[in-house]
Amino acid sequence: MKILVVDDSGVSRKMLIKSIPENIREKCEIFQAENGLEAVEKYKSDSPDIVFLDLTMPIMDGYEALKEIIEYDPSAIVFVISADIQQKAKERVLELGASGMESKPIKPEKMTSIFYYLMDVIDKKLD
Amino acid sequence: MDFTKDDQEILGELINIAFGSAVVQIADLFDRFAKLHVPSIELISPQKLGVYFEGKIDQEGYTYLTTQRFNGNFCGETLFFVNENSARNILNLVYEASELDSIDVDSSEIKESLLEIANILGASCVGKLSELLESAVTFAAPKINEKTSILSILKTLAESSYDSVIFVKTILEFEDEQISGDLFILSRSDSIEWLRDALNSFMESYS
Repeated sequence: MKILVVDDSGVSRKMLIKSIPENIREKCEIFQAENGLEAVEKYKSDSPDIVFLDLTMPIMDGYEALKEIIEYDPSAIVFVISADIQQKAKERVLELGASGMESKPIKPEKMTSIFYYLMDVIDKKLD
Repeated sequence: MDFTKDDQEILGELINIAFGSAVVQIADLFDRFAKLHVPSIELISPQKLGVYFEGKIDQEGYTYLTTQRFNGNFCGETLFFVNENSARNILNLVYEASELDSIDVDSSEIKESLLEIANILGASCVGKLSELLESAVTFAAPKINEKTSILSILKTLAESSYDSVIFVKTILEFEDEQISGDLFILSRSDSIEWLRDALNSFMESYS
């Protein structure tokens, strides 16, 4: 499985990657991007199965990146992880096609449940 | 200040999260949508504050400074510094346009509105930071100081026992209003030592 982790903060990317359950992490190929523009480019070049996307980033923010990724691949699985926990932000990312959203920071136990959820989303898309 | 580059990066990310949480509280309170910006975070010595504030007052019309003490494992004082324009934008955020027509807008309204916002911003930001580090803080009532008394406040702070300052340069962007402000978190060496250990423990939970 290929996972793309997008966040302008190196610490945040590291925390997110470490929160992925080890049994899943060791079977994954993990890519990283520092802003939305880089995320869109890496999505197109590497076709990840799951994208974890921050919203507040320089150059191109997460909203724009999400919009461009979904336009490029309507079946893309993009899960937003952000400090922005406004209901309107959540509504907006879901309208744009995100598979879900959680607030930062993600603890390992929370990430386990996110993965169960995303596996279910992937299964439904394959059906 | 005894912070490694890694410590600073972790602190920056946690303040980013804490600041986001504070802005969201303000947005929810006034039923506005806020566009979150990445705050710029810097660790500076308290001695640099005087020079910084003098420049802001003289060149950028900064007129209001709020102060608020907090206590806990992490203890110290927050300062929130804004210019006249941002202070007026805060007023527009707190009051509906129809209310602004009917109230006599003078500096007391601006000060009350600014105190409200500074209280939420500082307390939520420091409170959330402490919560992320599995601790808690309590807050004293915030105070507001105008241009004429800012430099004497700073002199008092410079003579106090604060050893370090976390400088958070902020933009609060709502649908109709933009508020630029500087948030400073002052603390003493024992608090900084606690903070550094807590940051390391936080990261260990991911290893």
